Amino acid sequence: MRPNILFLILDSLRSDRFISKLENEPNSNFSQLKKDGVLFSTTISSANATILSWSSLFTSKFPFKTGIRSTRFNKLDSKITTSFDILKKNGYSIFGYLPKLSETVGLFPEFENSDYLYDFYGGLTNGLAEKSIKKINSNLSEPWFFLLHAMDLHQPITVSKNFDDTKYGDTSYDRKLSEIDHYVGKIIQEIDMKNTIFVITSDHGDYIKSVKTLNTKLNFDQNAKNEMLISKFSKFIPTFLNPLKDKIFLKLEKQKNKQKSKILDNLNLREYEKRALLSGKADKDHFLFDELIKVPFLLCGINIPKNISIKQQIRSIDIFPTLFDFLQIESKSDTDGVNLKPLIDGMNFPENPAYIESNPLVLQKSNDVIGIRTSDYKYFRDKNNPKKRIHLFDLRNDSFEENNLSLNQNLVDKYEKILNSLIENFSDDVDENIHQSDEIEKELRKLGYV
Amino acid sequence: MNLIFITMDGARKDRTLVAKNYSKLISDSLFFSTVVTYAPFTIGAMHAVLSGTYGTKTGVNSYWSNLNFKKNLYKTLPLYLKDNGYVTHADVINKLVLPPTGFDEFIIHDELNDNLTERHIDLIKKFDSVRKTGKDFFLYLHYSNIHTGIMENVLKKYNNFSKEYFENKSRNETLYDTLFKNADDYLGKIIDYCKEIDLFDDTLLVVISDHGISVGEKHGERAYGVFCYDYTLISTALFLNKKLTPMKINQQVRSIDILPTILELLQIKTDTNFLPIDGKSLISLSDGNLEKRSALSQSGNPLGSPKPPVEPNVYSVREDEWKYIRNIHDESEELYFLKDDPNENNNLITKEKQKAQELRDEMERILNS
Repeated sequence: MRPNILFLILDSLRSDRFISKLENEPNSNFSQLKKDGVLFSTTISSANATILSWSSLFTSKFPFKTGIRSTRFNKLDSKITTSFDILKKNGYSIFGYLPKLSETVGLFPEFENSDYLYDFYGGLTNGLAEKSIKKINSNLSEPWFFLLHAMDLHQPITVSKNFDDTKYGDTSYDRKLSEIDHYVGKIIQEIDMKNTIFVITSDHGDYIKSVKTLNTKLNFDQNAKNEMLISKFSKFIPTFLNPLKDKIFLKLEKQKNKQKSKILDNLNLREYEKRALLSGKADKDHFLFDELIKVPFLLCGINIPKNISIKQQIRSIDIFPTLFDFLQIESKSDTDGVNLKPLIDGMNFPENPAYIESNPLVLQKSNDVIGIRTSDYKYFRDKNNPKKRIHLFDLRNDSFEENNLSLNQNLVDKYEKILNSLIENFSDDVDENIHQSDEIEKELRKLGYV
Repeated sequence: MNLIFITMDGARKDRTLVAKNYSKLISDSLFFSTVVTYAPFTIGAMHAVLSGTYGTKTGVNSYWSNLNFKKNLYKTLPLYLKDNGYVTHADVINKLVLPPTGFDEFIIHDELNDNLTERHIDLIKKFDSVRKTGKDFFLYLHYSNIHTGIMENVLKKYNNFSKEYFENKSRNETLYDTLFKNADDYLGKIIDYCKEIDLFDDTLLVVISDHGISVGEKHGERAYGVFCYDYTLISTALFLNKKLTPMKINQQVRSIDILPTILELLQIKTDTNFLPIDGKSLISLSDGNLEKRSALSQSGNPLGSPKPPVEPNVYSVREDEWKYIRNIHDESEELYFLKDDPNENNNLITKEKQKAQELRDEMERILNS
């Protein structure tokens, strides 16, 4: 019998804050899990938001090959086999809890538990941990794959009283992470780790909108209570008023940003701090800085080597091929992701460039970017025009990505070439998928259904 | 043995039973009068028929999801036949309605302008010559003109709440009857031609409808694909071949049972490299087996939107005598005793609590299977 798998996605978990938590709280549950397994601290997600990141993670393919392009009705290309398909074929029963937006992408299989969807604000710290424990203890048919996507770290963050303390960090993000750790501990207690592989990773990172300088402490975090009230209230607005609602939302966001800029004008902040503080939900210009795409990947449990920490860059698309190796399941041959087992075994393992892409906005057209990351450089530019919005950063000497080397044409050319080598054979596929989605509506119109 | 598979798009059971050519054909066939479709709209219905599996598993559960079809996991009828050396051809209303894999030719006809009778007889002629070379063929024919008439006279004129439509039920019936008469004429001519060339000596004919159509029974559904009531959910299926004993079977079966039935009749084994299907062959029922088969259906109520929803929001489980409906969009439930209440007017959800729970459990079982 193959082992069970608990696959925990902590939405918006940044690698740097996770590592810092491990260092500052050596007795935490996360630290114990790290000692019991393998930690990849430089895991690059394919995208800066959930939908594209999922599409890539669960297919082990670059997102532009999956057919899923955004939260519009684009769905997974029917030609693609997902990791769920492979797990099912190998006898796994799929359980779990996911936010409702997962419904739109056609990526997820039929879960064994019919209550697998939860509202947007579901998190380990507000009921999901208990619910999952109850489910796991309900004699699930084995082997099971339990997918748990928790939104605790997604803005707006609410920290419970017990953890809202400086000993858990300066920001609500760090404190929340300690709170999550507490609930992860509760889950571990209930799992038979002798027969389970536990994976912790994330779909993407996030800006942390809180900065502490010598004289000032700035916190531009969203107000959780207000956000939840707005969200609840929005549900009662009739559909025909949606365009007006969206317009008001965009206008308010613009106003908020103006006010924030004014405050920052008088402060001597670093570039990476400014961009985090000024970031907003309605920003049209998208970026792919490390705080948005660098996530951890922790793997522990049965058959997993202990206390290994790997800093070499890997990609989220490598996660399932690696997991399948430990499960002795044959992986697909057409994946972009690779099996990292040789790297875990200490073998010389070449680094692969990570393809990265920003997730388009839904309410309005956004200026999206695509690019690649290596351990030396990060390069991204306008999605449709290689000459526009070029960003190039020397990651070894400028880890906060503050000094744009876009004028270094030789380097730009070098990295554009690498990017092109990844996308050139599939550019038609991207167009075809976009075309296909619009095409469905056209065909349904012909049939009189739209 | 060759296969001609005709889908009579939108053919209601009540008209099928009494139409001149259809009823003649029924008397010569193994006929199933109560076939519950998985989806009361063609895209969902036909993907389930050709894969023998509910759209909850294959990924095709809405008007928008044909690209989601998991062809690597579910083997379809055309692919089975292609793998068994058949020459395969489809003549369809639209490219969204069938999984195309396995068809050598996948041709879209012009439902507004093509003469489907002539076109399909020409195709049968063409494949008769293939047959004469000793090769087996699979010809899929989609009779789309009931849809065409409904599209032009109902879908384009009314919405699901148009007073004018629902207040003129007899006019709706007249329109539907005219369209059905044309469909029946089509079928008569096709069958006459097949008999003329002795096609049924070595050819299995399968004629199904994918779903029914409203003539204004329930406010909120001008045609189909909104609710899960019997006037759209019940379709029919017939199998005709010289070796098959004609028989009429009224007990409920499911549209997902059609694929395994055809495979059994053509003596093709299921491919174990793919996931097991939900459907079961119907042949044992013709031997007197009274096995009950509960059926899951899903539909998408657009709720006033001009577009159908991306995910189904009306589910039902039907047994021979009972139906349970769950409206996901407003969390309401319905329960009907079909034997006494075939028009589904008397909701027993609060009165028949035990039966309601039994069918809720059955729905969960199927959804989790």
